[in-house]
Amino acid sequence: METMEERSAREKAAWEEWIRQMGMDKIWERLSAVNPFPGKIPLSVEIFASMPVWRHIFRHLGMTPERWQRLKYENFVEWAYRIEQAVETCSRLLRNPPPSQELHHMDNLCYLSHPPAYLCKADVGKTTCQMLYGKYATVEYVHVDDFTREVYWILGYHNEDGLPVHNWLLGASEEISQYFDEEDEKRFFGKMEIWTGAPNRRELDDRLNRRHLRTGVKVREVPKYYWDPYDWGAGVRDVIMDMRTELFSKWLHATLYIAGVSAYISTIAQNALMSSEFFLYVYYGLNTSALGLRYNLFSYVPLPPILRTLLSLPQETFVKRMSELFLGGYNTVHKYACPEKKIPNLFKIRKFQWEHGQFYPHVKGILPPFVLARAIPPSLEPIQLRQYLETPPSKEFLEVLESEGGLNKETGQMPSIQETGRFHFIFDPSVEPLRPSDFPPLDPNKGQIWPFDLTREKLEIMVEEGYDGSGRNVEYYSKLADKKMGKKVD
Amino acid sequence: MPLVLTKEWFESIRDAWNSDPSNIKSLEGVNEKVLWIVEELPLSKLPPEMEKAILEEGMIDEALFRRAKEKDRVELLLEWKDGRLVDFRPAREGEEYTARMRGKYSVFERIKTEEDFLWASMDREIDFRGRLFEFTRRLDGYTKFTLIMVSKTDLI
Repeated sequence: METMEERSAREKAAWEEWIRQMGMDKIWERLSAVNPFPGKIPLSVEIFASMPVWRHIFRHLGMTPERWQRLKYENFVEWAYRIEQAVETCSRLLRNPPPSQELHHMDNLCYLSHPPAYLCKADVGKTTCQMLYGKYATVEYVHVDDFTREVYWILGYHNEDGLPVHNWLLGASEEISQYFDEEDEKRFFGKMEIWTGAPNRRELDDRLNRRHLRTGVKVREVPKYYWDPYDWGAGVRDVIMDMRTELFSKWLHATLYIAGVSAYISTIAQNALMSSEFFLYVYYGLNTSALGLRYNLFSYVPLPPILRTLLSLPQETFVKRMSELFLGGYNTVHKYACPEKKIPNLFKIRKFQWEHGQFYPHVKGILPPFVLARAIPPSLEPIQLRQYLETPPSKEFLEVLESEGGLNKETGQMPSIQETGRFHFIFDPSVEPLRPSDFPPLDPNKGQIWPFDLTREKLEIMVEEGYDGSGRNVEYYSKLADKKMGKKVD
Repeated sequence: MPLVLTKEWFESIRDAWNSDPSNIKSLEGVNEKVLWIVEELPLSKLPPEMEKAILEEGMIDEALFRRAKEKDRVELLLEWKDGRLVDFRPAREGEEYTARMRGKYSVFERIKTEEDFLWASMDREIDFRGRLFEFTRRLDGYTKFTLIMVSKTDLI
């Protein structure tokens, strides 16, 4: 029987051949402004064919080797402080539950960390976290450099009764620890009440050299031998389990989950402008057939069974259910836990997204959440419309799907990028994108929260009536706007 | 005298393509018919007396000129055989093609490198329809053709 290593080698070779056949290598060669290492093809290179705004964001940042390392650090440090903020927020809300009008206040939402890339309410997060992982769980995120295929940090947290209570930085390469400032050193070197790190940079880096007892492969090098994020998780889990016994023994009773992701994918997911957009990415990341990819962009090892169930839903249903579940049917503009001084590149990303929208340049403006949920992506394989939409498209949407996407109305089939050269997402054209100037000014450290069914008209009314985006009384303002728009309100 | 859509314009572009071996090499082995749609040619900016002169001199097919002006776009048909541009003319109604390119004249005018062509295509400023594999392998040729077309076009 084929070993995992043999299968990985076969899948890697098949992927490289596929990339060549499609001409994706030729595309990447010419996207030099996005590539910090000309001549090298990163993991998940196909993403750049279908994520228009990210091509522009990376070009806007200017991708040099130095920028790449800095971006990896910023991705890491924002991730770490989000978890810390979540631990603090949950602890505060447990002591002092908020009044009903403050339930969705941005200060009361946190990145409850499954993974720390979207905001949710602490109480819902507690329940869903238990539903997802069980009563006790330790989740470690394993991040991999897209160009070197090396693990460069492993950081996670421990959950008790669904709430994060402790952060554990297991390893970090010197490429990123070189950027640690005094505040970081306090957390990552040594032991605090809610942090376990390592004594110094060298130790953090050395831990990535720990070898697997059977295969002899270093943790750092697992992605060089194993194919996609599921295999990375399987490849490092035994070693992390041993290290937990040695270094984190207080939490041995918990199930250990490993989540694997690459730097590009993690940066894209972490910096999604809005929660609904993030849920769209989760759908694509774990259900990559929706983009026509033949491997996963993100993994959980083991995969929580409920995720498998949720992912069998159509995309639109998935995005709506996740928004209902985690945010009571609202949509957040994500906030950063770190200040601009610490993460200047991530702030540049946010500014660019806010000014241009999530699907620039194909769509100019910010797409409302319910339109995002019904996005039809460009896919590398033929797709079936039913996988994406819960309800049939409007007449205008159908026309665009036919004329631009080549939809076969009889079968619901749509051809792939390979056949049509369509690089753009298709959205319902009957809904107008939102303009950043329609919103109250955005503070990237505060974020904003709006109803899922936000339209330009509803946004205008809510702002006119005095809503400031903070979440205070959002339900009241949402219902008031609905009433003024002539909608039936409960 | 403006030089676009005239018989001389079509011929000069075809000759320029075929006379440079590097152009032919860039599409070596390629046999395809491309419908190349150019939008927003600034024909409306032509002074009436100049327009009259062009039409009277018979340099340009009157129906083609009027249609292009009215629709603010022109549909061109390019046929390459083993890299040689064997046919370049206005497309006929309902004519079949293997790939399609569509963009504003100002966008084509901006293209200087293959990278520019790729970004414009991925950003939908140039809307490409056809097989991705073929598109990526022909980028060099498409870019070269765009450069020739723009250099041979004189709108003022």
